[in-house]
Amino acid sequence: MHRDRAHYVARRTAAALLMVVVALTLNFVLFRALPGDASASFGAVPEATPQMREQLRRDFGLSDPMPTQFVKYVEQLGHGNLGISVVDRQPVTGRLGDALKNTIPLALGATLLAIMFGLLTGTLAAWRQGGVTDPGMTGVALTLNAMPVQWVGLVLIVGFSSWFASGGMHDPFLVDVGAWARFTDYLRHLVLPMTTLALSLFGSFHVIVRSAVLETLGEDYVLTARAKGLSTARILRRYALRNALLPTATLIALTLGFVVGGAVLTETVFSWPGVGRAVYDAVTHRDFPMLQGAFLVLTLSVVLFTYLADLLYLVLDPRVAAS
Amino acid sequence: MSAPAKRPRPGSQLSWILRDPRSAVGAAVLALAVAVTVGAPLLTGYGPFDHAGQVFGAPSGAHPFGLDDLGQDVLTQVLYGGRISLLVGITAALVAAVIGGLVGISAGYFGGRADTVLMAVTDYTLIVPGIPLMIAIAAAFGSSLAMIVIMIGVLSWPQTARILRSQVRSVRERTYVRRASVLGVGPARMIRTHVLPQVAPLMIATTVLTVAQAIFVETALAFLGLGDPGRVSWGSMIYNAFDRGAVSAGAWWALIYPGVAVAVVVLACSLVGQAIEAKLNPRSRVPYLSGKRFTVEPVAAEHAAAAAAAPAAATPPLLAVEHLDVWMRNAAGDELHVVRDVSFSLGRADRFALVGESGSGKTTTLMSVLGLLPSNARVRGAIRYEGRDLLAGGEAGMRTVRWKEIAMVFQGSMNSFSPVHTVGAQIVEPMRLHNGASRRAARARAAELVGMVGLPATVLDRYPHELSGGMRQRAAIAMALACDPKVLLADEPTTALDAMVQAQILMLLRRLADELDIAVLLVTHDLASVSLLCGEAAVMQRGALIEQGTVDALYHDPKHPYTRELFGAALDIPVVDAATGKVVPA
Repeated sequence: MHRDRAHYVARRTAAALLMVVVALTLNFVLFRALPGDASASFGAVPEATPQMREQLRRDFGLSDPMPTQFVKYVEQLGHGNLGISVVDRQPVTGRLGDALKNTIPLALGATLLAIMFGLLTGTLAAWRQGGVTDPGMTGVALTLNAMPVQWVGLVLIVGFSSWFASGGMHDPFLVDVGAWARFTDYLRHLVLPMTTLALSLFGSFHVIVRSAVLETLGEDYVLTARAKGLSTARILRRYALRNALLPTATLIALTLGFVVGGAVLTETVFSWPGVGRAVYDAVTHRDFPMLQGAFLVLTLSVVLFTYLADLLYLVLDPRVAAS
Repeated sequence: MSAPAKRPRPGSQLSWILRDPRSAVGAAVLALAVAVTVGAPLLTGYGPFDHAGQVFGAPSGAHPFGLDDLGQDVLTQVLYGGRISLLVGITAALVAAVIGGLVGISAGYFGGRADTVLMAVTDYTLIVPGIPLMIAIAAAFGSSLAMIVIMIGVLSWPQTARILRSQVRSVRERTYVRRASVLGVGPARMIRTHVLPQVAPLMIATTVLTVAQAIFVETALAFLGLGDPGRVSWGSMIYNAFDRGAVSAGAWWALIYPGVAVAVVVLACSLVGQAIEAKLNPRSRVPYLSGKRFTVEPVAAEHAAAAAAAPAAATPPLLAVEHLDVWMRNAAGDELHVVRDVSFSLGRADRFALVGESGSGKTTTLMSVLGLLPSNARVRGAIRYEGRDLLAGGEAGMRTVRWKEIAMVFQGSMNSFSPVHTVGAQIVEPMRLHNGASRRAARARAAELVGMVGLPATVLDRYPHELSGGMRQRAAIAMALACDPKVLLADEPTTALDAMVQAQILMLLRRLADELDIAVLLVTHDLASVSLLCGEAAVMQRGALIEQGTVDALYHDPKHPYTRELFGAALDIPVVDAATGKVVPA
């Protein structure tokens, strides 16, 4: 039994590490090996001589053979070096670290909120199938799912910006105030972006949970649980929902790419200084080292959370190690 | 099932899409969207970039959707913008369908190494966060319309590939496909004639859903300033409302209409896609738990009057089913009369069997006793436990007797345990809830119970999948005894087991019922079980009890021709030694 579990963890870990290698390679290939390297845009500078361009290529190591470049790139990554931003000449790693600290509460909070509501309404809708509750809730969920994230954010700004802050993470005029005042100011800024991201994720989570619970409500153990005289709430929670968590976890893990995309758009709408906003700024300033770093961070976080979902499965389903 | 007859005609596959109300509405909305955007010049007098009036002019008769930051008519922009959004959505979805179709069908059809490699590529593509990757590519290469279409298509195919692969695998296993393969039909022809027609509806469903996704991604790219700058799209309109001050100027109309247009089209796509998927994977199982309870009707007047006129017995029977009728409404809306005027009663420690073929209504009768019927059922009659009518007491009344007074062992206990909880937790649960037993006392009692059914106490910490079928059935019996019930309902308790184990389980049930003084109501089609366990039985046919009596009498002196037929067909009943539980060779 324990050997099986260790085996499962080892297999998933190997798969995750392979995904990291793929992500690193993709990141390298995408930004280096494609036609037109960093010196190409330098060529557009007037009076740039071919000699200067060649010098630049040597300085950046772009004239080395591709495998050498790749080894160097991985070496640099190992030292946590993602290059220098062309905008402010700061190391990309440091700036991304700061951005990540701002993104995590927003993205994680919104995802958890959406999962919580999705579990609640998805279960209720499945249980009340055939009544008006189910089409009502599912209709709302599908409609939310059909709205572009950035549009939801802008509509919320139009509707609610008099109650909550609609840009940035802190009020720049708020100086020399206590920790509590700073915290409530932060919350006032967090409400709208977090609601935006949560609303746009909620729709698909509701649909996923609803169909998973509908499936488990047809299982024999639900009938047994009813015969045992358990209350409806207990059957829904402990039997239907608990068993529905297995397919739900898999499907939610598959939507992590959407969470990342949604976070980029939400941060752009609300000028939230996170990784997504960094991507937007890098695009507008053609800051390729920054863009490459941000892309790597986003890809690796999807790999990490996919891996965590695999490990969560081990906790959720006692059968998983056996197969 | 005769396999060749199952082969469907390709043309008949798609007409049902338009008969389902959801997909019909969705398809109509999509057709309308395509029509109004293509016919934009007929619906508006302005060009997409024409200056039509005052900057941020509010909606009015001349400009029903108002004007934007350049004084352009928003309605005109929505109509012309829809051309680009729909064009990108549809062409990108087709690109994804071609790539995903090739990968999914090849992987599913050829299997083996090709499958492993293709699915690995698919899984890795699936985890690449699409939006940031497209941003990087668009930033590096610029963003023409063709570039956007190709990027979205190239990143959206993995879902299609995964779904098609599993569908193709199941098609490949079908008899007529395997037969054709043995007859030497080549892969190209096989895929064209056998596989493609089968997976076509699913491909349409995923493609329609990809259209929605692609329209979304177009708005996202445009919002990040990576759209095609020379063209209006719904995405670029939302971006302009954000970037050029419509939101801060309070000109909500410049923002709202393009977003509503996206939402309507995407919603229409998901209606069509979901309707097709629901049609392809119909949920055949009726949920066992539903917010709606089955309908209960009062006892028919003549029976009620007769019951009132009869002198009240000094002690009512333990369990009595009186004039029970059950109707079930099927999906087509027709009501089927599945139980017809069934009456019988059970005294303390009686052993009674309901015997009949499958579909005779015996299981439905049993389910009625505990009020476990699905919500599409309508019930009339009375179920009396110690004289009290359980049907009249509603769900709350039912719960007072469930497991404490009347417990149940189900058919095929493979699935009557939840796979994610230990066997012990599921046996302990009713004791903790109904008897208020402490954790320790309940656990001790559970160990005692599994001992009584011949299992070691260690099974309490095992998960159901770790036990054999026979062990699970024993555990199910232990669970049924947890709250010392007076009646045990047993629904085909041995069907899924092999013959030796069947006999052992029946002997166990008989011994426990004797020792614990429990009445047993057995439902079965297996006459051997009846003779082993029960003294009396009733024969059911088409919902009605046709004959009732001692098992001996039914064997040796059947009155009804159906009884004679049923018992006559069962001459090869195995003889089981009562002491050892072993089958005695004839």
